[in-house]
Amino acid sequence: MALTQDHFSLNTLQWITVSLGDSTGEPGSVGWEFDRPRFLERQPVVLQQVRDAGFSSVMLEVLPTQTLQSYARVVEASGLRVTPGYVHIGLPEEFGRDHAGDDEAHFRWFDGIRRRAEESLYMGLDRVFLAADMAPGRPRIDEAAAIGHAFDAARLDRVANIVGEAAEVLAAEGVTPALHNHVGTWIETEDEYEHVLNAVPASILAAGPDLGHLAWTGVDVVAWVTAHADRISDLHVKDMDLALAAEARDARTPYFDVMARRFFLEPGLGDVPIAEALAQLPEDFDGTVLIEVDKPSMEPFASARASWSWIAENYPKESS
Amino acid sequence: MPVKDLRFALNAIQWINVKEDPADLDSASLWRFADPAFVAEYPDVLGAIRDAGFRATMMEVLDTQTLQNYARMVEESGLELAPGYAEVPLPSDHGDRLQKGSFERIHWFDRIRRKAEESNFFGLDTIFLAAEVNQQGVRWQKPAIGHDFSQDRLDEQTEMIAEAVDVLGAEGVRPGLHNHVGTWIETQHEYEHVLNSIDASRLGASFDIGHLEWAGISARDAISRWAYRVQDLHLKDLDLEIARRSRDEGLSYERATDLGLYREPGLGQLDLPGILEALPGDFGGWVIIEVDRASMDPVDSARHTARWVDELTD
Repeated sequence: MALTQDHFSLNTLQWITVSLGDSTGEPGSVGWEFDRPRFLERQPVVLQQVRDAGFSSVMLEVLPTQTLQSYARVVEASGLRVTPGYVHIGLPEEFGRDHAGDDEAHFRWFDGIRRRAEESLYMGLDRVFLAADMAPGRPRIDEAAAIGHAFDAARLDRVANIVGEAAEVLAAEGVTPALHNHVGTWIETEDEYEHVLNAVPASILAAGPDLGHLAWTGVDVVAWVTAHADRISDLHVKDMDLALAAEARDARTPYFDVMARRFFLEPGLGDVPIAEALAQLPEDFDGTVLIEVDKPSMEPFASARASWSWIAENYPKESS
Repeated sequence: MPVKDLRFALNAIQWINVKEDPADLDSASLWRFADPAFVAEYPDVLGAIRDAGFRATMMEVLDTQTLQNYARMVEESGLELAPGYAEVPLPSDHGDRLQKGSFERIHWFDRIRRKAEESNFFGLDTIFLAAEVNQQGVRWQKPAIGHDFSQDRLDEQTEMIAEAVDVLGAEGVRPGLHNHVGTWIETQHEYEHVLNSIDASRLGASFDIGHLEWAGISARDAISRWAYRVQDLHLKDLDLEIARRSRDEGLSYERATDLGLYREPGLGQLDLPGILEALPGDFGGWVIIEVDRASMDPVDSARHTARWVDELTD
């Protein structure tokens, strides 16, 4: 076992997703605490709690109303290191746009990708998770999550193309993306994930799976990690109630209806064989294992401490 | 301040504000900083500025590139960077006034924060701060005469400038107020109102010599009067006859530009050395030269401008 406690980092979702799914789409009605300007004041407190919970690292997350320098100061004061961030890319057509013949609009479609590259490089990171976008109103959010609902092979090819373009933009900046699967997006099922990984060269696109999201769709995550061990640069892990996942899949359940239940859990409290899957990583794995608790089953700070306890029980401080 | 000791930089505007067809005044006016295709041409422009003889250029990170990408270009060019430029749009020009502290109002200043970020990334601690250049605005059609003045609007603009000053100040960047023809901060009354409303400890004065003179204001007098606050300057030369015609005959901003209002330093009628001599002895700021529309090929324009600087500072 090569993993040590230093491989683990935390995404501060515990503090962030409290109103997720409640957004009306009006300006200022955001369901994501990161997007609320007032979160700027809470950020140092949250990062301090991450540190106090036991973590030495946190996921990169520069707030929309924050400069890089301001973020770097907050991170430095917390004593945490930052680990690779997250960026997503959508299909222009899903926003009513057609870039055919409009090179400028298409170039600017990747502004957010370039920004994440900039943030990553500024903070000394050369990797980032790259996912298909997730937006309210999509069939896999509003109708049925985690079953590959509304699959369309031609659309998946377009998703693979735009992911490939985003990967090229990131690679040109010196940042290597890791493709991330996510329930609710067009890269949701094992087959979809595989299709896009096969469509874009490994030289510009690593694999950055979310083991929880794979498990939610019914995938054997131990076998998946074993099969893709060489391409994985970093991972997200989350625990969940897999009986509930199966029940929700069978009943064709919208994303946020699943999330509203006691579904997401702190590592070790659910059924995802996280440790067994991580054991399949190469001995010399030097990426980040990012813990995510999308909706805590307890108060946020307690959730972060419970997450760290699981890490401390399962992994040594340093390599032996 | 001995003029020979001033620090000069060139804004790359010769290459940026161009006509789609240089031979046709009625062809579209381009602003190439915004063109994604310009990213690939930018290194050549920076190289040409250096080759012309300039040591410094104005900070201008394209919104189609990362800070690191721009930093590499600048490093390869061998140029130093001089302070950048930020503008504050007026909410009521784009809909409604925005309530203080609201989500939209906080995001109204995103581009100001971005400019602070860019400035700090490149070690610059001052910036030019102006009202928005709005090409749909009434002053674009009737420039340099304080057209459609409203004290109420000026108060709103002042409030927005003050908030931008706070945003920049929080990041350690000190702005200097910049007058600009065609904006709501165009006349002496307007820039003096803003300067008088915001404390000198938070806001300097970073005049545009050409835009003062276009509006019929003596740049020498403005610099003398506000000497204790002058922080950095934009310098341009003008064809004063076209400036007068734009005021008296109602030429639009764009028409005046197309007719050759802007001149390389020394080719217009402004007494630029005399104006610069009005700077206070302890002036430590930058003089950024702008030729908003070159009267010759951009490379020749930059070379001509560099020779003018050499002769001035010899």
